[in-house]
Amino acid sequence: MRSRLLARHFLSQFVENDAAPEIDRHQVLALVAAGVITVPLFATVFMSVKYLMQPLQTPAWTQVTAVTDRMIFCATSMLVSAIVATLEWDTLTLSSRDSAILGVLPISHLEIVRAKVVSLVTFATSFVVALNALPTLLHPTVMVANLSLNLLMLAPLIVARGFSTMAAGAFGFACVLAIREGLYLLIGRRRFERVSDLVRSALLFSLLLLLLLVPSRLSGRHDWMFERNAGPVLQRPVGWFVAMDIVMAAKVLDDVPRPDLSTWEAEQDDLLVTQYRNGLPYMATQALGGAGVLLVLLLVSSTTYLWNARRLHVLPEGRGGPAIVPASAVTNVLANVVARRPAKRAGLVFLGQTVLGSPVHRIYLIASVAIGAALLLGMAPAGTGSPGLPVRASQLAAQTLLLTAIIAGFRATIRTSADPRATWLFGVADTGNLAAFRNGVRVGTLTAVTATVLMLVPLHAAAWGVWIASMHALNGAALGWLLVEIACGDVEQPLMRTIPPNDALNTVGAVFLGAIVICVVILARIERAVLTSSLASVVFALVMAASAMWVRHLHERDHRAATIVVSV
Amino acid sequence: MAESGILEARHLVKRFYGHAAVSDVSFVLKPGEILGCLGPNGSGKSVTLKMLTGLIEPTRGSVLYSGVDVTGGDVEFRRRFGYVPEEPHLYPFLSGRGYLELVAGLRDLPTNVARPKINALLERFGLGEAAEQSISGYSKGMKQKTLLIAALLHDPDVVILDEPESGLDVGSILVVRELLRVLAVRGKAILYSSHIVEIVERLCTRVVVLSAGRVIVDGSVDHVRTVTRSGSLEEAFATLSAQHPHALASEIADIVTAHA
Repeated sequence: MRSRLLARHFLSQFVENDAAPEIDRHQVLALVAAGVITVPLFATVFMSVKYLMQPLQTPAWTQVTAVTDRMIFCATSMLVSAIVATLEWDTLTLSSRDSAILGVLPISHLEIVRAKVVSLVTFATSFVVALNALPTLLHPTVMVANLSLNLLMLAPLIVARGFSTMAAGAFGFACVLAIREGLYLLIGRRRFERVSDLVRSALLFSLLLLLLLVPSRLSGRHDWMFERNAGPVLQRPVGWFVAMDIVMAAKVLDDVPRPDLSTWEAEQDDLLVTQYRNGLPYMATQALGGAGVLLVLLLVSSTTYLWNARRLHVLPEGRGGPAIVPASAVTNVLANVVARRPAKRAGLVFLGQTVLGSPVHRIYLIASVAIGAALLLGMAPAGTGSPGLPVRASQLAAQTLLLTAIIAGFRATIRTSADPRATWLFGVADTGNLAAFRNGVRVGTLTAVTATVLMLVPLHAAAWGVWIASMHALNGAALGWLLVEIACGDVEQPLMRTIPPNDALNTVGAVFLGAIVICVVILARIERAVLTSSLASVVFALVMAASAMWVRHLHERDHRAATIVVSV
Repeated sequence: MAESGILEARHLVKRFYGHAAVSDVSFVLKPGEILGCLGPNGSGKSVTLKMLTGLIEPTRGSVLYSGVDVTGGDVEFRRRFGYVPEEPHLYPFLSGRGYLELVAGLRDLPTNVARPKINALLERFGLGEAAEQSISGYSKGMKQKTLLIAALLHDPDVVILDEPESGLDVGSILVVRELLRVLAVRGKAILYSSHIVEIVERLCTRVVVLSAGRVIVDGSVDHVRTVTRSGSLEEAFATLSAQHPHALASEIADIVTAHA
């Protein structure tokens, strides 16, 4: 009874964690829960259409064609589970708060740890099942809809899919747990607390980027799965679980009769049969290897977890020394260079400290940078434009999309209070100089945008030459400034007050997104046209800068009017 | 069992990364007694209290409960004491009632006993209307009251309080002070750590003064005043902790007004 109460309490901590903003946590959680169910459902329907449209579907064609879908399902399950584990980073183990509260109650240490493990396993299992349940039921069913299969034959296909995707999810979750606990064990609690945020952020960024690249990188044929070929390194773990599915489903599909085919079609199908049957022994080895790796990973993560939890830690390691990333030093140096006025400096330093110190704000920025990086990687294919200008409009648009994503992240960041409980401090400290504070926040955002543009210059220079790269950077910086003024200039009290998202966001948001893409494409075409002349490029940048100043003037006028109304 | 105490700290030592937070602390707490624990910031009061409750394991020394060694925490001992920590450790996403029901459940209190008790205590402490609110919206005083109720819910023999008056309004401080007196009369042993010398002087029957992790005086309030030749416990405390409040206050005022 007591253990169940404790396990239930720990389970609620996974939902009420620090990754969602406190003020609209339940709204965010409801959105995430809806997304976990509906997004895989839509993706499944989208991916299943090709089976229904295939007039002469054979078992061999199904096995070979379904590899891509299986890759996407397994990769998504693995990455989303790993992302959730990373978001729950601090909740995965007992915190010093848990120890302080529970350590004085008459519960044995073993009982506390057991309840935590039970809640962790329950949470991970429930999440992985919720994520994969609908695709597991729907996709295999639609995949063989045109084949002569009865329900008894369909059941093993569903079981195979469920087993492989859930094993992939368990692998993703256990990987993050093993990284966290392994690091803790290796460097000790004191050092772990210093690097924990950095590792968590890096992990979250990498996982989000990989997840966003799944559709583009995993579409297409995966012939390497049927050959004695290890395949791309990052896809290998996914391959283990896909192999499990194929091997488990092979027995059923082999027994399914082939429809009547013409001689040529039969010959083509025979080639597919040979390809996949020859690959089965190797795939069985891969599946066994994957199962072995998963078991070892589960063993390692659970052993290190239990070893690290052998003692309750009541005191936070406040004496652990300075943070690995000297955040305050970096922002202070920057503030000394670009912001001398105290209020402006306060805005800049506060933005830097909040972004680096608050989990919610950090997640906003990590997510936006990951989206931007995925767009950049997806839209910068090899190849050149016309002979006169070795660059294509889509390649120019990639930088703008990256900047748009980052600025959207900053917009979400500054529209969220750094700490709702500390907001009164601004009311006390405000000497009517909020414009300078806003300016400091704006300078911080602009610095991030400019740094991003400068980081891209060497890449662009290598691809297109120094002159085009320099002009593109100049245009990017000016365009970035305009976007910062449009997206962030209307926020009257940045980082002070949480502005809840618009209720109509799910309808208006789609229109906005479409408008942004159209504007970016148009701007990229204009930029490509002006890149032919240095004068035209400079004029383009000046027009963007003048527009930015005009937008800023409009926003400041609105803010002044609002202040006067409040004063009256 | 020395001096028939219910709880005894015996030569407690605690080191953090080579730094001694508590060097040598010994005292005995008897049933029906309110023992005050005084000391300046960093003197080792909170660490000593955490060692007594088993939250921190001492580097050396032992904790005895009714003569039995309970060093590092013992489940049976934990059934018999209530603890109000210095920092308001609470789950902010729970409501006040939710937190107290969780504590009651984990203390194995039957629901039919716990529910009415929680309701009655919430009402008496003035939290009745806020009982369903999330703790994240509570003021410091409300959090402190929630911690006090959680510490007393299971009728403990020993009550350990680390600055319980923190954040409480004057009325609530008076209620808590009287409550502790009544509990002591009913045989409970109370260990009361505080910065507020005046409260300790009025409330406690005996005082332990800590400085730099050591007990420098252990005796009745009168005994402490006599030893230090002071008119009040406040003066005695300043003498014992070698503080010169007037000189220090002048220095701070000089810094504050330096650029005015």
